[in-house]
Amino acid sequence: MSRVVLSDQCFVKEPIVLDKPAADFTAEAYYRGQRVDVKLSDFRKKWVILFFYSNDFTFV
Amino acid sequence: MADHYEEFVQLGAEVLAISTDSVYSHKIFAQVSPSARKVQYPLLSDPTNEISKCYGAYNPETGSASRTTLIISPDGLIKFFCKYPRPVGRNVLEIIRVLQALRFSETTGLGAPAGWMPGQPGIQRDWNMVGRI
Repeated sequence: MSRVVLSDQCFVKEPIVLDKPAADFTAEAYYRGQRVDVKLSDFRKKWVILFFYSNDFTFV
Repeated sequence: MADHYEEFVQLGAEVLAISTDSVYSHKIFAQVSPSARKVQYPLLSDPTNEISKCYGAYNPETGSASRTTLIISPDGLIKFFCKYPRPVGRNVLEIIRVLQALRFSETTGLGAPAGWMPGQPGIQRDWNMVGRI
Protein backbone atom coordinates (compact mmCIF):
# COMPACT_ATOMS: atom_id res chain seq x y z
CA MET A 1 0.00 0.00 0.00
CA SER A 2 1.42 3.36 -0.92
CA ARG A 3 1.90 5.62 2.03
CA VAL A 4 3.38 9.04 2.32
CA VAL A 5 4.69 10.19 5.67
CA LEU A 6 5.53 13.87 5.89
CA SER A 7 7.24 15.89 8.56
CA ASP A 8 5.65 19.16 9.60
CA GLN A 9 7.80 21.25 7.22
CA CYS A 10 5.33 21.48 4.41
CA PHE A 11 4.68 24.01 1.68
CA VAL A 12 1.03 23.25 1.03
CA LYS A 13 -0.07 26.68 2.13
CA GLU A 14 3.10 28.64 1.42
CA PRO A 15 5.27 29.12 -1.64
CA ILE A 16 8.55 27.26 -1.76
CA VAL A 17 11.31 29.10 0.08
CA LEU A 18 14.90 28.05 -0.57
CA ASP A 19 17.38 26.99 2.12
CA LYS A 20 14.58 25.46 4.16
CA PRO A 21 14.54 21.80 5.19
CA ALA A 22 12.99 19.43 2.69
CA ALA A 23 10.06 17.58 4.25
CA ASP A 24 10.85 13.92 4.66
CA PHE A 25 8.59 11.37 3.01
CA THR A 26 8.40 7.67 2.29
CA ALA A 27 6.89 6.43 -0.97
CA GLU A 28 6.57 3.19 -2.86
CA ALA A 29 8.78 3.02 -5.91
CA TYR A 30 9.81 0.92 -8.87
CA TYR A 31 13.59 0.57 -8.90
CA ARG A 32 15.58 -1.63 -11.28
CA GLY A 33 12.91 -4.27 -11.54
CA GLN A 34 11.97 -4.22 -7.87
CA ARG A 35 9.17 -2.73 -5.84
CA VAL A 36 10.77 -0.84 -2.95
CA ASP A 37 10.06 1.87 -0.39
CA VAL A 38 12.10 5.02 -0.82
CA LYS A 39 12.63 7.43 2.06
CA LEU A 40 14.06 10.85 1.27
CA SER A 41 16.13 11.08 4.46
CA ASP A 42 17.99 7.89 3.48
CA PHE A 43 19.78 10.09 0.95
CA ARG A 44 21.27 12.51 3.45
CA LYS A 45 24.96 13.11 2.64
CA LYS A 46 24.05 13.05 -1.05
CA TRP A 47 22.53 15.65 -3.32
CA VAL A 48 19.04 14.69 -4.41
CA ILE A 49 17.32 15.72 -7.62
CA LEU A 50 13.58 15.51 -7.10
CA PHE A 51 12.10 15.19 -10.55
CA PHE A 52 8.31 15.54 -10.67
CA TYR A 53 6.51 14.64 -13.88
CA SER A 54 2.83 14.39 -14.69
CA ASN A 55 2.35 10.88 -16.03
CA ASP A 56 4.15 7.78 -17.22
CA PHE A 57 4.24 7.40 -20.99
CA THR A 58 4.38 11.21 -21.33
CA PHE A 59 7.82 11.62 -19.66
CA VAL A 60 10.28 14.23 -20.93
CA MET B 1 17.41 12.71 -17.74
CA ALA B 2 18.28 9.03 -18.04
CA ASP B 3 20.96 9.84 -20.63
CA HIS B 4 22.77 12.01 -18.09
CA TYR B 5 22.26 9.89 -15.02
CA GLU B 6 25.95 8.95 -14.75
CA GLU B 7 26.90 12.62 -14.55
CA PHE B 8 24.59 13.05 -11.57
CA VAL B 9 26.13 10.04 -9.87
CA GLN B 10 29.62 11.44 -10.40
CA LEU B 11 28.49 14.71 -8.81
CA GLY B 12 27.34 12.83 -5.71
CA ALA B 13 23.65 13.05 -6.54
CA GLU B 14 20.77 10.63 -6.66
CA VAL B 15 17.77 11.21 -8.90
CA LEU B 16 14.27 10.47 -7.63
CA ALA B 17 11.56 10.71 -10.28
CA ILE B 18 8.02 10.98 -8.98
CA SER B 19 4.51 11.00 -10.44
CA THR B 20 1.02 10.04 -9.31
CA ASP B 21 1.18 6.80 -11.29
CA SER B 22 1.15 3.51 -9.39
CA VAL B 23 4.24 1.33 -9.12
CA TYR B 24 2.45 -1.05 -11.53
CA SER B 25 2.36 1.67 -14.15
CA HIS B 26 5.97 2.58 -13.42
CA LYS B 27 6.98 -1.03 -13.93
CA ILE B 28 5.39 -1.31 -17.36
CA PHE B 29 6.55 2.19 -18.31
CA ALA B 30 10.15 1.28 -17.48
CA GLN B 31 9.89 -1.99 -19.40
CA VAL B 32 7.99 -0.81 -22.46
CA SER B 33 8.82 2.82 -23.26
CA PRO B 34 12.09 3.34 -25.15
CA SER B 35 12.82 6.55 -23.24
CA ALA B 36 12.13 4.96 -19.87
CA ARG B 37 14.02 1.74 -20.42
CA LYS B 38 17.26 3.62 -19.77
CA VAL B 39 16.05 4.83 -16.37
CA GLN B 40 18.30 3.59 -13.60
CA TYR B 41 16.92 5.66 -10.74
CA PRO B 42 13.80 5.07 -8.65
CA LEU B 43 10.38 5.96 -10.02
CA LEU B 44 8.31 6.98 -7.00
CA SER B 45 4.55 6.74 -6.68
CA ASP B 46 2.60 9.64 -5.17
CA PRO B 47 -1.03 8.61 -5.81
CA THR B 48 -2.60 11.05 -3.33
CA ASN B 49 -0.48 13.99 -4.54
CA GLU B 50 0.65 14.62 -0.97
CA ILE B 51 4.27 14.89 -2.00
CA SER B 52 3.61 17.05 -5.06
CA LYS B 53 1.47 19.38 -2.95
CA CYS B 54 4.09 19.57 -0.24
CA TYR B 55 6.79 20.46 -2.75
CA GLY B 56 4.80 22.96 -4.78
CA ALA B 57 4.61 20.71 -7.84
CA TYR B 58 0.87 20.00 -7.77
CA ASN B 59 -1.33 21.25 -10.59
CA PRO B 60 -4.96 21.35 -9.38
CA GLU B 61 -6.25 21.63 -12.95
CA THR B 62 -4.76 18.33 -14.05
CA GLY B 63 -4.70 16.55 -10.70
CA SER B 64 -1.08 15.58 -11.26
CA ALA B 65 2.32 17.17 -10.89
CA SER B 66 3.72 19.86 -13.13
CA ARG B 67 7.16 19.36 -14.58
CA THR B 68 8.96 20.49 -11.44
CA THR B 69 12.57 19.97 -10.41
CA LEU B 70 14.09 20.51 -6.99
CA ILE B 71 17.66 20.10 -5.81
CA ILE B 72 18.13 19.10 -2.17
CA SER B 73 21.55 19.44 -0.55
CA PRO B 74 23.30 16.70 1.46
CA ASP B 75 22.21 18.49 4.64
CA GLY B 76 18.57 18.23 3.57
CA LEU B 77 17.87 21.80 2.44
CA ILE B 78 16.00 22.81 -0.70
CA LYS B 79 18.49 24.67 -2.87
CA PHE B 80 16.69 24.95 -6.22
CA PHE B 81 13.11 24.95 -7.43
CA CYS B 82 12.00 25.16 -11.03
CA LYS B 83 8.68 24.56 -12.75
CA TYR B 84 8.41 24.12 -16.52
CA PRO B 85 5.44 24.88 -18.80
CA ARG B 86 3.33 21.96 -19.97
CA PRO B 87 4.45 21.99 -23.60
CA VAL B 88 8.13 22.52 -22.83
CA GLY B 89 10.52 19.77 -21.77
CA ARG B 90 13.26 20.36 -19.25
CA ASN B 91 16.90 20.96 -20.06
CA VAL B 92 18.80 18.48 -17.93
CA LEU B 93 22.10 20.17 -18.78
CA GLU B 94 20.94 23.23 -16.86
CA ILE B 95 20.13 21.13 -13.81
CA ILE B 96 23.60 19.60 -13.99
CA ARG B 97 25.09 23.08 -14.33
CA VAL B 98 23.21 24.36 -11.28
CA LEU B 99 24.32 21.34 -9.27
CA GLN B 100 27.92 21.95 -10.34
CA ALA B 101 27.57 25.62 -9.40
CA LEU B 102 26.12 24.75 -5.97
CA ARG B 103 29.03 22.40 -5.30
CA PHE B 104 31.51 25.01 -6.55
CA SER B 105 29.99 27.66 -4.33
CA GLU B 106 30.05 25.34 -1.34
CA THR B 107 33.70 24.44 -1.86
CA THR B 108 35.09 27.87 -2.67
CA GLY B 109 32.71 30.17 -0.79
CA LEU B 110 32.37 32.15 -4.03
CA GLY B 111 29.21 32.85 -5.98
CA ALA B 112 28.68 31.49 -9.46
CA PRO B 113 27.90 34.46 -11.73
CA ALA B 114 25.22 34.43 -14.41
CA GLY B 115 25.97 31.89 -17.09
CA TRP B 116 28.74 30.30 -15.02
CA MET B 117 30.20 27.11 -16.43
CA PRO B 118 32.63 24.76 -14.66
CA GLY B 119 36.20 26.01 -14.90
CA GLN B 120 35.18 29.64 -14.90
CA PRO B 121 35.98 31.93 -11.96
CA GLY B 122 33.58 32.59 -9.15
CA ILE B 123 32.62 35.96 -7.75
CA GLN B 124 33.21 37.48 -4.33
CA ARG B 125 29.90 38.38 -2.74
CA ASP B 126 31.45 41.26 -0.88
CA TRP B 127 30.14 44.74 -0.02
CA ASN B 128 33.43 46.15 -1.32
CA MET B 129 32.71 44.69 -4.75
CA VAL B 130 29.51 46.72 -5.12
CA GLY B 131 30.07 49.19 -7.96
CA ARG B 132 33.16 47.34 -9.12
CA ILE B 133 31.45 44.52 -10.98
